[in-house]
Amino acid sequence: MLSRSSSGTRWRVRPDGPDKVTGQLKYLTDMSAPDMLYGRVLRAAHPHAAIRSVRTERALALPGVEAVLTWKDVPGLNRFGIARADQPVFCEDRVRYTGDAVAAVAAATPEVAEYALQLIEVDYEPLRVLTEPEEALAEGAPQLHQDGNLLHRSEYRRGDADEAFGMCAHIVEATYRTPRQMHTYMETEGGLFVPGEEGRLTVYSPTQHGLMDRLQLSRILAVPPESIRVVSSPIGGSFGGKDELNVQPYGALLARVTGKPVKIHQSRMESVRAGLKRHPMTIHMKTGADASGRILAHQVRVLADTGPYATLGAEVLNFATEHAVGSYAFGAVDAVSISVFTNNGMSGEFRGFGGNQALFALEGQMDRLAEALSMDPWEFRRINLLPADGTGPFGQPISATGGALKVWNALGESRLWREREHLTESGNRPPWIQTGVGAAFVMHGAGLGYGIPDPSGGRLLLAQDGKVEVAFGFEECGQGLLATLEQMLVEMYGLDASDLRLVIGDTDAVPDSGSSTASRATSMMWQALKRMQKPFTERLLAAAAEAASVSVECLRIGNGGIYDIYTQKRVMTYQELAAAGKDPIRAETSFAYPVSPTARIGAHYLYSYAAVCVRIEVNRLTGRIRLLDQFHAVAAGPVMNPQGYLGQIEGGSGMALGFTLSEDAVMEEGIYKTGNLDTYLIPTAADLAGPVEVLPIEDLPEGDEHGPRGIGEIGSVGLAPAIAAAVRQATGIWLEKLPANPALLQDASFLGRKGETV
Amino acid sequence: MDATFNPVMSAPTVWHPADAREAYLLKRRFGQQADYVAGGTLLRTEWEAGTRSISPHWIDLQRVTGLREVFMQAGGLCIGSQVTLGTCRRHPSLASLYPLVGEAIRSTAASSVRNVATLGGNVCSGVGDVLPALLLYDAELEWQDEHGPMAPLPLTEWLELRAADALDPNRILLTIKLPARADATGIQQASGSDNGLPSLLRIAVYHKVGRREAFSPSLVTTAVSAEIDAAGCFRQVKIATGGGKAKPARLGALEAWLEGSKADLSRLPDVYERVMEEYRPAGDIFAGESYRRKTAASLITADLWQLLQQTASEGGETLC
Repeated sequence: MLSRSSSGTRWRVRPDGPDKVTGQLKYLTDMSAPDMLYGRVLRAAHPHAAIRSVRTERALALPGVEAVLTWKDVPGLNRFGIARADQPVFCEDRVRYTGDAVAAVAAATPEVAEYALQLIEVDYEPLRVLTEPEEALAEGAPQLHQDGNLLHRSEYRRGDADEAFGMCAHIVEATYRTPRQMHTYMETEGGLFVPGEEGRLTVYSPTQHGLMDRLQLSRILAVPPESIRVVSSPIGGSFGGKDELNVQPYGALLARVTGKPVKIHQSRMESVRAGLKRHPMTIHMKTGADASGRILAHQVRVLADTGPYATLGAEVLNFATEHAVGSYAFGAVDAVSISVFTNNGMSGEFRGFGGNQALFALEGQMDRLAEALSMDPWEFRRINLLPADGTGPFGQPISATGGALKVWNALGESRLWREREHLTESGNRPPWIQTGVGAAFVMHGAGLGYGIPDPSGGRLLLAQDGKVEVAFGFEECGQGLLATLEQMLVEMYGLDASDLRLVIGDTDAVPDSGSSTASRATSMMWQALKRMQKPFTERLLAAAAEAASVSVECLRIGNGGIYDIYTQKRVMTYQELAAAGKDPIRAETSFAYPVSPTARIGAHYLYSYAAVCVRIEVNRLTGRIRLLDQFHAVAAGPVMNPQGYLGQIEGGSGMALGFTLSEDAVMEEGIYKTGNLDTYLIPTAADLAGPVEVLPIEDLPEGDEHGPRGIGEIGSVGLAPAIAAAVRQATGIWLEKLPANPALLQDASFLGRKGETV
Repeated sequence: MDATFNPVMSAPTVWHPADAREAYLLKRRFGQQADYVAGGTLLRTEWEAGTRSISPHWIDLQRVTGLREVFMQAGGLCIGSQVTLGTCRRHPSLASLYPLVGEAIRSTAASSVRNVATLGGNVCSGVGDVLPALLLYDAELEWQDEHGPMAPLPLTEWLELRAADALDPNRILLTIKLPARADATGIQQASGSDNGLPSLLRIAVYHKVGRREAFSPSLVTTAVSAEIDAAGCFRQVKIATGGGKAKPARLGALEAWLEGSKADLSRLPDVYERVMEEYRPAGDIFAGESYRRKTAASLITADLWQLLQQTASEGGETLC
């Protein structure tokens, strides 16, 4: 099991740790500048309305107000969106959700800025609000975009499903519903926007991909990307939620127009209103098996509520389709997924990327079918697993790791799963406390997938001060990227942490590494460091050999400098080497995330595997579920950073617990009813009190070139279906809608009442 | 007066009266333009959510003399309205003499909030989670009006009058009085010295059900205390409920029905039905009225079930 004690010296203090736990670390939203202005955004007053007019004169006349902007003030493209630029920076004639921006203000104080918002007069004509995807697709529904209300359709078919269902001995069918989950990062969106000389603009604002923000902002401002510098780390949490632009367009425009630094920092309520959420999905599945337990047919229908604009809605849907087929060798598959525009909040990228919703449904089907067959649910999964020869969900070739069977075995042998067979009746517990054990199997793709440009790269440089400067275009959003990068350099290169200067999160200083998303950063850093190791080391040693007039064969790099391999004495420090060098010593690499030789857009090539087992109890008086114990086996190649690995699985699991039990950004008529953290409830330490065991399975097949796979998302996927299986064992009730509704789990029959069981 | 107060551009005037009468007069002077502010934790939440507008005048009660003390009086405990929940929680006699109040406070908000929020504020909100526990111990409230401190008013009565909107809106809560425990045995039990008493079984339980395990608004709260006497009858039955927007209340009809009756399992289904009838919760988007009723009915019935289990383990009639 992975723990501090089992990790020995590999359990390190993370470089950004002390400043974070002592509150010393300055986040970008903590920054300020002399004479800066405060920016605020006027959000739509209605979830769906035509804008008849916008009058800004009264706001502009308010003393202290320096700018009031509307769509007329956008010099370039009045749109943004990573995959499809369809979201207005400022709405022109229509608002499509209550987070839509209509105007923005820069003023001398936050109070004046807020008051100015009240003085902007917008005449709206409310339009019919589309609150459900079904409604948006119905005939006669108002069309939110020129191409209609359907954002994306993703289909996958293999074999003849109708015919295959005809041959099934058992068919199970269910409809699964998942919530509109909020990322709930501690740091809400914001930043400082500083205009500079010659039209330069520096944007200090958190994002998961600084270069993408730079590109999007350059289109909006109609300036060359190089004129913008985006400083994007450290980030106070993101989980996918800050990958898309949020307040950056407003800060950038206000800074350019006023020529002064502008600070924007959203309140939690504005963050809830304007920010992304996980796509609520309704997933209908029909799955059938023959009498021996082999699955013959699998039908999937996914309906996703993507909200008013695209962002990565289509990509999330593709991912959901792929993972709704997942790790099983179905005979015939008939999957149709659609993502639909509504006037609800924006849905978008969120840790797990559609896999969380898909796996809740898929694993639910596995448990239902196993039960229909009277088979052990775990054994049922094994006999239906995809062949270990490297076949993916769409039949595409994937990198074979053998991870599926390894996590399957590990769970089967786990203490927790063995408890399932002999759960003590009630022991000292009153009869209304019922316990259950459940498990789920997860296969999770990493990288952006086939057909989407997915470049990466990195750079090493011996700087003039003798530091080895390591530059990546990745971001530190709390996941421990800096710690992992440092540890890889210490362990792979033999350098000391004090030899290093880690450079990330600054578009002026970093190469293009791609986004810090899709569980890709650790894989890509490892790949880049591996590619650069030989050339960089050789260049260091060659320069050292020349400077010290010794043979290069006698030298190696190490802690603090260059060493003689025979005497083990240090020949020179890195400072001495840097001072001696004529040309800078550097290495740089660029490459692409590995993809499958397939034609299926979005199909993945590298996968991680996990098996999750939980023990829960249900209090039948209150219907509340408590998570008591959990075990995660994760096969994702070698562990680069034990602390980070454990943190990712534990943290992902905590997020999944919220998804399962308490989190849902409730909307009525396009308005959030959970406007703040007093109604939107994420788990607390008390909810997460039980033990968490994480077993990493590190071995990879001989000759594997891809090294560590991503684990940033996989911990957030399997817990919900595992809890659902455990609730079934405890109570006989299937959870079909998340978060779990306690009312459906109440039973007062223990108190002598009859017929109270739901 | 200042009908167009805009909290964005004008800071409210904060008054720091030194005594309760001065505070009262200020409030009367400004009327609806003023709010009393104790810890301010609930006000803040309401202001931010937009469910209450920000008043131009804030009357700070924290500096009013005499409202931050906890003291014993005539065998009971007096808690000043400005005592924080955190102080209450750490107070040794409060926890030992009135354990359900301690339990209710422990499950209210989070420790950082409890260090600021006051017991008086929890009471005056009318829906605080401590109220059912205070009701169980027959708490009384001492108020200040124009003329000075008024005669203590039972908490139950105050809740009724408040619901009927029949109170001077300017009155200030001075003290929450928890009377000496009438059930002397209870005190002896609490002080851990009831070993020599005849076998008497009792239970005292507070439950709060929220949407997560801690730092959660309540959906349902219940407080139950009861005994079974040597003759096997229910005695000293006290049952209170609250939670969410429900008016905290004693379930008087149920208490009366149980008091003195034979304590056996066959009564439990009726207890459940009677709670379902007598408890008046309010549903919202997070939990319906029906869920709240069933939850309260189940918890209260289960508490009595647990009491009856003690009888069984004491060698009484076999249960189940």
